[in-house]
Amino acid sequence: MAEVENAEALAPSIASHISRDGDGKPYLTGTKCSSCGHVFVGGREVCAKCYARSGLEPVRLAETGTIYTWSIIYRSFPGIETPFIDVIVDLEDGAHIKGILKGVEPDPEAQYFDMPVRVQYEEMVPPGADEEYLVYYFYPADQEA
Amino acid sequence: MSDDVYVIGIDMTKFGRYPDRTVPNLAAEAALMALDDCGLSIDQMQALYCGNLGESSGMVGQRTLAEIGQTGIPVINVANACATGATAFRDAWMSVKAEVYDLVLAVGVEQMGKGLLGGGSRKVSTEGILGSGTMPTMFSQIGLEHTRKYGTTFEQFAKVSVKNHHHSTMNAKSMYRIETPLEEVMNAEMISYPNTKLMCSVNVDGSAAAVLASEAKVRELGLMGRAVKVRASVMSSNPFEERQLAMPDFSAATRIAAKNAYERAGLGPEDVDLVELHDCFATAELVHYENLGLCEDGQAGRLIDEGETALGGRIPVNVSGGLLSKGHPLGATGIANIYEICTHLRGEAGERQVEGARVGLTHVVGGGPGMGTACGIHILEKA
Repeated sequence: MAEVENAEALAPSIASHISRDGDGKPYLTGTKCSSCGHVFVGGREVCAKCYARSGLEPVRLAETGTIYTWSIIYRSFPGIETPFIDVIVDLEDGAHIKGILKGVEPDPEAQYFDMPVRVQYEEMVPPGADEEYLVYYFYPADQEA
Repeated sequence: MSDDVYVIGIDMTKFGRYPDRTVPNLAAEAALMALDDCGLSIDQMQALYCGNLGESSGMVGQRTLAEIGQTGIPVINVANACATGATAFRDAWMSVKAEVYDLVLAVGVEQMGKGLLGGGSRKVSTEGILGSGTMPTMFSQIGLEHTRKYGTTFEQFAKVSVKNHHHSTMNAKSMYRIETPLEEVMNAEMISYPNTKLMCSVNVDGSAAAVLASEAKVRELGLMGRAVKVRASVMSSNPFEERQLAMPDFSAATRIAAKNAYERAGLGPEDVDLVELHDCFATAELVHYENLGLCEDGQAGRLIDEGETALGGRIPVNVSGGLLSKGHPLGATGIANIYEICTHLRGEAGERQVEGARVGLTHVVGGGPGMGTACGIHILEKA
């Protein structure tokens, strides 16, 4: 974010694995291990899978994938709007990431396994915060932004 | 004389809600009960291993001794998520196994509020934005992963809760002692699909304690009659698993600990007469049937359908009522489970007695999003 000229005008990221490039365009940060090939969400210097201590390359994560597992959350902490669909997504580059599926009504009967999804970045004010943050959601891949 | 370690005194408080008491006061109750169980006194204990999560920086062990007798012995306070009690017990076991001491006390204790556990302590929470960090969510996704692989149904998960609530009607130390028919379980408030409120463990207060001794000490004290031998005491943490950073993994750690525990004991799952496993959510119990080798992978749904894990079945699981009904005071659970197994091995479990029980297994596994996993497994045998 440091290289963005008008950084103060952009909403800060809500989590360290959401970043912006030089044009202020959001992306998901990841790390690829050049020894074993595993793709991690976020930055890291040692591979948790093969224990390599070098060759960990920063990458931009894929922004499409499929749902591996899910749950519909009806009860969360006070002030959090429910229900919402919590999904674990297998991204196309092999990374695995958690998020919320939007764009469809939560329905246990629907069984969301293997649904193709895409990442969409949005700016929103989290409950209890007083400014907008940069966040991401998943939407069905066939739904236009 | 062997280097085997025995449990000679063990007990637990009735699990419930005691907001007017303190954590050390709860711990003191179980500690004295365990000492009374073997007719010994605090001044005979050579060390205290104390497990507690909520006040883990508060020297709960020392404060417990302040309530029951300050003898100047070493006190080790441990915290390890839901495996906290098992960790205290295992540290006590190791100290005797290593012949540093031959008579020690382990206590696990917790005082909890009601409500959801999980989430995080960040300044701006990502809850409800990048997903949910609640415990029910984690274990619901693990349940639906089982559905994905094997077609396990909401009804099969719900049956776990029906069974464990039924078991608890026979346990006077259980928080709840009510029957919950299948329709009631399935129609209860949905927390995180497929776990309804009745499929989530109960946050309660309580403590459990055990006195451990070397074989020579047990014989010297003349306490072999009701002693229970620790055949294996094993722990593990989460190994690398493909999706663990997105969804915490409790299965891989359990499988490592189970394999090592069976090897250490020289026994297999077929030798085990009853199991107390970590049913923090109904979905978790089915997954752990397979992780502990009680059935082949993919057979957990059949096991619950056919009643194999109910009292009177092939391999009764959580006859205490489990975390789902007896309650889950985090730091106490690991020793409370050992108490349940010992009670059966001693033939003292009353109407919920597993007839002829000779070998029992306890399992706890805890952790959270962005943290990791701690798993503890103990295999116990009638001496």
